[in-house]
Amino acid sequence: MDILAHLVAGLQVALSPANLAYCFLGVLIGTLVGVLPGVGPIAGMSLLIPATFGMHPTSAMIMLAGIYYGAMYGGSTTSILINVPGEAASVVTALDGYQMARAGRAGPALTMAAVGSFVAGTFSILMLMLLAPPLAQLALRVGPPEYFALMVLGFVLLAYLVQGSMLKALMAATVGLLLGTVGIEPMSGYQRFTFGLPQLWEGISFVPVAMGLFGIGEVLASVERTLHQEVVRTRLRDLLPTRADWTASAGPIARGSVLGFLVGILPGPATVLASFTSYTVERRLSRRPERFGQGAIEGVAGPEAANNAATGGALVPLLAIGIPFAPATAVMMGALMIHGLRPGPLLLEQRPDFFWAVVVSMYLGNLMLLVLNLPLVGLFASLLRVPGRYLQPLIVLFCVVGVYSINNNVADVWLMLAFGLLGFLCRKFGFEVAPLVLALVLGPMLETSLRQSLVMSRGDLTTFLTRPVSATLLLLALGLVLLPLLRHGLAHRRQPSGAPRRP
Amino acid sequence: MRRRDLGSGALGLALAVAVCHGALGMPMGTIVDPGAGFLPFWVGVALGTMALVLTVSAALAPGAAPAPAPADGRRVVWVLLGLLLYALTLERLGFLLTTLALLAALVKVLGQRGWAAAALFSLLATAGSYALFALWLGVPLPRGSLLP
Repeated sequence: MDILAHLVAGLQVALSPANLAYCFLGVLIGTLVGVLPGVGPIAGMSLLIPATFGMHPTSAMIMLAGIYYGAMYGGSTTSILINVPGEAASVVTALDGYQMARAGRAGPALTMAAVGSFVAGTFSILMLMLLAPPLAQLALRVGPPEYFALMVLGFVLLAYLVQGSMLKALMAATVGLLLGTVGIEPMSGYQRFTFGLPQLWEGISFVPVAMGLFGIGEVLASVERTLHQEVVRTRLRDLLPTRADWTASAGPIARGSVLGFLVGILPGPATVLASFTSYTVERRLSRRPERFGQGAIEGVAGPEAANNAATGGALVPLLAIGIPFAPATAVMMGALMIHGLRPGPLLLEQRPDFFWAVVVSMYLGNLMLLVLNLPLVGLFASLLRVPGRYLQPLIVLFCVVGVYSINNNVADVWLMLAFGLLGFLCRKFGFEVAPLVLALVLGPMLETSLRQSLVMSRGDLTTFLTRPVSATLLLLALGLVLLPLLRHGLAHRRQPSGAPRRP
Repeated sequence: MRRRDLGSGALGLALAVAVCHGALGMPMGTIVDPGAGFLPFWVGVALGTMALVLTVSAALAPGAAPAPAPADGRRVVWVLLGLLLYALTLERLGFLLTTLALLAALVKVLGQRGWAAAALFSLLATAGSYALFALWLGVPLPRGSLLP
């Protein structure tokens, strides 16, 4: 195997002073956006995309990946210390973490979260390294119908798994697909939905949309509500877990690593699901499940390991197949395509240095995070004392300047504002914005593979059902769509006179 | 959520009709060789169908909805207005002036009492972002036509 040779080559790229610096910057920013409630890894990456334009694409990816997994470390801090999850993947950490903090055991909770994240991060990088290259070989051999079916399944699974209504999530995805069709159509050169505006010829660019939906939209939503936070203070000397803590956490961390990685590979909001799944599993397995919610360290160690392992898992489909399954990796793909790199099997074959440098950098980044997070956790927690009235304007400032700097054009600022308003309204009306962004990125690929499939099969739509792989994937998707309807019907039959329940 | 669902369902339906109408004006191609209008049309049909389902199920749902969480909608309007004004004046007045005004206004809208802290914050943040983007990263931020 030439894995070793690749690793050495990757190490050389990742260890260059510039890339080390970008890796550090990435994990630092990741920790910050993880700590700050309201700003998650997706918003963090979107805000930083314009800053990567001057960089080498490898450095850009190293930094963006750093933000992604760095946020998983930072997210636990807020969950444990103030009971406000820094990002969605750390929601369950708050259940037991905050109870531990109230009982004066914030230190062990924070330490175990960091150690669990590190172990799981390392495991998932190893698995990414071993799995991605063979998977890419496989991906090179499947045809457009399989790609099409895989993307359809990805959308449906994401819609099934996000919070709230599946119908609305699928509607958001179709809007994203339609936005993706704006501009000059690549095969025939026909202008679609450009309304005679030259600015729209190249399509709706990804960065203003992402920054608007995740940055401005989130600011507008959080401006509406007022948060009162109280930070549990912690001292460094109290950080060390007891021997009992270590033995209690070993199992959850190991299970969380494997589980998180597997969940991460699947389509959906990888990190969020990973931590939820791990929490549920640990409570099931526990001999004293009643302790969960009362400050059980297993409920911190497992989910925090799982959400970190999921970041490595989520990178597998992006880097090996070229299809981002999670909203966060869709943002990465959007960024890489601006750099002229299309992630996927071809990239892995033609530019192995890119893949291996990113993998090695992730390992280094996890080491940095462990060092950053353990002693400095108090410092990051003190960030929470920055009042929202200063934080929100800073996010706005970053969005405005960042989006302007893409093309030095006010048109992008307007586009971002429009999508900021859309993002706010989506939140108000119960629509998830993640499927929209995923569809915007994947839309052109979906259309190409659909049209190629039809040309290849001479217009025979059954081609999707006669090929075993695509048939399986599409049937799975259909099943997921029908499942909620079926359940709804059953619930109706059981209580025919009762009013339908609505959450 | 019921009235909101009715609203978003109707909006989705309108969007779907507009999209399908637009797509029909494009070359549709054939099923053997689909054209530019093929995907937009069928995605529009899918959106319309789902919007219809949402509208109908919202209309059929029982009326009594839980009271919405208390929210301060005025702040959102102020922030949006500030951003609109910013985008309108950015090129004419230049980055420094507009950003100073926007940040100070935002901090005030979001609850800062005195002007001194707001002014100091916006001064520091504007100077910092100018140094980072214009001086270090070399982004040609708009200078405005007022200043020489």
